[in-house]
Amino acid sequence: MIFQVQPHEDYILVELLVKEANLAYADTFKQEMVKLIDRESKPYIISFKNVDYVDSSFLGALVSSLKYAISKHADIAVAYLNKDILNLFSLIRMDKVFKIHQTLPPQQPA
Amino acid sequence: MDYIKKEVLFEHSTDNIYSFVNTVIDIIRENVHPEKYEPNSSAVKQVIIELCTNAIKHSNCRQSIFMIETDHLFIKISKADSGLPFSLICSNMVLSFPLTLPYTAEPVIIRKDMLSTLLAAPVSMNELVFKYIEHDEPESYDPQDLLEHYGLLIIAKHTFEFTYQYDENSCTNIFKAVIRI
Repeated sequence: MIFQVQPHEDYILVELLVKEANLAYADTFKQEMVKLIDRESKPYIISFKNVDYVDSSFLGALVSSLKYAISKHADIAVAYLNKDILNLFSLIRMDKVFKIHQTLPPQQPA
Repeated sequence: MDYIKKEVLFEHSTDNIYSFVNTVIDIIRENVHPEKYEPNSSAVKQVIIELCTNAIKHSNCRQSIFMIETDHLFIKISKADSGLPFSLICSNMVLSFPLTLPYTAEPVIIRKDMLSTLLAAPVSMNELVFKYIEHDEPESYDPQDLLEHYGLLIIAKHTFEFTYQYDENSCTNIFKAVIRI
């Protein structure tokens, strides 16, 4: 299982369970996100709390998922980026594309 | 801080990336002063990751040799393999190395979206330099126009110089990323 899903009142939390968000998981992540979005068109927050690094393939899958989400009137934000991942987002200006939460918005699970 | 030059073998598997990246980082940390290394640690780590990813995805061979060089000014990370040569697409034509005239004359756009453009500028029949152009942030944009390929752009943006060389004699591809410290 690449991530676990936890519905909240205003968003759906997608907590990545892999330490290495790389090309080994990119396609699966994209496919699973499409399934989720097809099921429920809500804002999603992807938590990188367990993730040590992200490579370009996984980043591409994240962008692809965002594009799909927007086409379905949903949205994707990210949370808990470590220093290296935050630097990566900033480097290629993904910080202009994704809303970045330091922590999760304070809400109770639905 | 003395000049060092070390080689490390990377077996092309996603299972090997994490330990390989840490091995290379350890070599660099042992030889570069923390004051010089720490501000560049994210760049070093991401460049190694992207070179590994590139090797697994595109080289179509089983292993590559990473060469690590450090001195008081630069960290240089090269990846050499005997897999498929890098190719460029120009005017719907695939250009393979060694390049032939007139295609060596002009930079070729590798990727372009509203945020940045990545170019390959040939400097000879067997070598090119990757360059990027940062675009002004658009007031509004359609995320559907974003590209999904970032590997070479990430390395180009993290480095002082990023090049590709094709050695015709040994049929070896060498990507070299130079990080100024």
